[in-house]
Amino acid sequence: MCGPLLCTDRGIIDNYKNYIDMLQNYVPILIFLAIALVIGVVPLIAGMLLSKRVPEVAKDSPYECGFEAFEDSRGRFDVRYYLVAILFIIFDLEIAFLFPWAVALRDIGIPGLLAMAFFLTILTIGFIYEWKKGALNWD
Amino acid sequence: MQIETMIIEYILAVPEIVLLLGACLVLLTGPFVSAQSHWTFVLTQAVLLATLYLCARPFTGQAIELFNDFYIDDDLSVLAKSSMSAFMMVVILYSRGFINKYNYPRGEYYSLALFSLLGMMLISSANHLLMIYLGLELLSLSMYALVAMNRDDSVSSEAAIKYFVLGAIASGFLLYGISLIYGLTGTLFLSELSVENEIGLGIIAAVIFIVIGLAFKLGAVPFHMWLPDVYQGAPLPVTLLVASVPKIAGLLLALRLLMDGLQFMHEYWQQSLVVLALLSLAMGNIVAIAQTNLRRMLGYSTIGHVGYILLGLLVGNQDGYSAALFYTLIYALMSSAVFGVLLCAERMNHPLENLVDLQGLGKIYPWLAFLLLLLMFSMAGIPMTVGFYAKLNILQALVTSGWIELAVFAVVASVIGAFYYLRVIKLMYFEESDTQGSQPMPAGHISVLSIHALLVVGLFLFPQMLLEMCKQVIG
Amino acid sequence: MVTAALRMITAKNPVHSILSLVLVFFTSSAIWLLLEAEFLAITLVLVYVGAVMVLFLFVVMMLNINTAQIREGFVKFMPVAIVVSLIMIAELVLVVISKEFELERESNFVFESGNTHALGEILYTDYLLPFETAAVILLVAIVAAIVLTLRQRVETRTQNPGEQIKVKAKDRVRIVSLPSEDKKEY
Repeated sequence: MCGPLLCTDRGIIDNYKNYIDMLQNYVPILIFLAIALVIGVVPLIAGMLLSKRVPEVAKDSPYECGFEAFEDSRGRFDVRYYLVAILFIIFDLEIAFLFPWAVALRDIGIPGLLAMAFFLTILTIGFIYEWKKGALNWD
Repeated sequence: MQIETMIIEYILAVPEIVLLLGACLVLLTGPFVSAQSHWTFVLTQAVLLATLYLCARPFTGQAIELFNDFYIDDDLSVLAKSSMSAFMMVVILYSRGFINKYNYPRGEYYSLALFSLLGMMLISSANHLLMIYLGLELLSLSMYALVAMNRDDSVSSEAAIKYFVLGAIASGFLLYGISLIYGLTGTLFLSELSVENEIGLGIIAAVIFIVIGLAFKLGAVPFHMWLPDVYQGAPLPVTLLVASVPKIAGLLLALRLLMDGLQFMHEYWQQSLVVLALLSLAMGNIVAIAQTNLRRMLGYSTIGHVGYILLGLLVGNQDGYSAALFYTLIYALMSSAVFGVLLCAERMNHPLENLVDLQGLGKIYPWLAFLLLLLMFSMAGIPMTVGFYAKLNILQALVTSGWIELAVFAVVASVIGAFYYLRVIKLMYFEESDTQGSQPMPAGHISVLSIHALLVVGLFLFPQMLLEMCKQVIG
Repeated sequence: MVTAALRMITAKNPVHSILSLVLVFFTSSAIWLLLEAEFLAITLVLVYVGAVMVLFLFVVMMLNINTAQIREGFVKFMPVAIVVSLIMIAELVLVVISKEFELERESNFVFESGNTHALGEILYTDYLLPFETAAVILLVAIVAAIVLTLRQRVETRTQNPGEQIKVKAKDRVRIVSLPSEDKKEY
């Protein structure tokens, strides 16, 4: 799939300036990741450092209204989630196809618009089918 | 792109477009029309008839490339598409009774069959490795779903899982070969493939990967493991479907890849095909003898026939290719008729699951048994049936290009194979059975089936037209 | 990425394995980005992390896999696994050092507009037919998924508000006129 467009000459980048420019677009994401990391990690560490821990058998055991725990606390998922997830993946892939289209729409003009219209029509038929079939209903 | 050229492109690709829209319509009948309605069936047949009508055109000897050369419209694709749509019509017709009897979801069943046909048509007119791959995936995906349709049966599920996993591996091999080819040649267009330098290790590896992928899909030994299981485990109409139309698509796949694309690598893929063909012929014909399940036996017999088809392919000239094409068409004809007989018997509550069930069929349903007799003769390649010509053609092509040892081996293999075909006949006519009570035969089914099976004799008397057609489309 | 990959195959809890796999995908996406394959990077995060891994999680949680049983096979299959990975490494090395794969790069226009844009320009025009075929394949995938997993459950009790509203008194209460009986003396 990738073709000559994506193949670099083994890391030898001819055009450093453009390369850096491109990466600079992603600086906000990097900052975002850093903040996410801080928000995720700092409370954990703070909790570990600041709290007082007096472990004890009764305290550490799982509590269920005074009984012994009946079953594993990790409940099993319903099979029906699976269908929903598969259908989600399919439409997710559709989104992946929409990305480059949205970026290049100005240059590909009407044929591109029609191509995407046809693509979406086919998938909409699938959508109508699954709706009418009741695959989106929980019960 | 000019508007005029665009319109021409869509006109030439109209069978596919009609088929696609028809398949979508049939699909939507699933939830919208009552489950007992016969309209789904009628609509499916109408779509297939329209597709057949739009596909069929006289041979021109020209090839037109469309959609930026991704799609090729030539005589070979015309022959393949028309025959595939025609076979699909027959398959759907035979399946109908079974689908109604066991209440399979009709809209889904028929539309998946149509989608698989669309995949096969795309393979037949692919001019680009990517299109071959996508067509193949469309075909396989529909087939996986169809095989797995009987969800509550463990044999069926096992078959579907095997089919799916091995099919996915095969696609992986094919794709890996394709990507190597792209890395080496810089193009995926079949007509542009060639290597500027001398043939290196890379391209040989690519060809081997592609041949392995192909062998998986065709079911050639040692990549045949899924085939008997699918034949046995899938619902009967799905077995009928798997056993007939996709064989033509498989051959077209091989022709497009090996003849159109990799002809320059002929001496390399020839060797691997020799191995595959020898193993398939031996394994298919010998293991089939040991089977007690009729469908499983037919699965192994398919493997034997695939060996023959590969023999035709490996010759690698016009004679060989056209012989392989002729053989495949005849094989699809016989195979769909055999499963048509099985389905007919099943409709009369006399399922032919194991070989024992055949006992005394000659007394209970004489006409059905007679048709099966003809088909078995044809499969074994006995004169007076067209199966003889099919085998003869392959052998001629082999001998004229100097593969005499292979031809001798093929003859020995088919003599061994004749044993289990004749055993079927023996069981039908020379064994007694205490089963009684013959039901009336379903009229539509049996009449089409009779014509279908008698074609086997008809084509023996007049094979010239089909033979000429096969030669013409290859040249 | 290597740490995450190692963690994925050694973790005792399959859920941890999957979360490590998510990390593997994230890091490989970052590598794609460094290789200027922006579109692939986005798709990797969007499709693999966003959808495929969720599906994996569902499956693992649905099956309640017994971890001890899985680990039994670990040592047994180790030799096979090592052979397979050695073959794959050898292949990759061959591809990388091989001279046959050195095609000239066609042009530099990728840099000017970004390859998502370049991809968009050819995917919907030159590669129209494969693109539409992909749509059909996705449609078949929808149908296959529904045919194979959807079951009409008869036992579930659901309310249909529409029917509840439309209901009339006479649907629920049947007024039966019974003739009054004469009083009898006992």
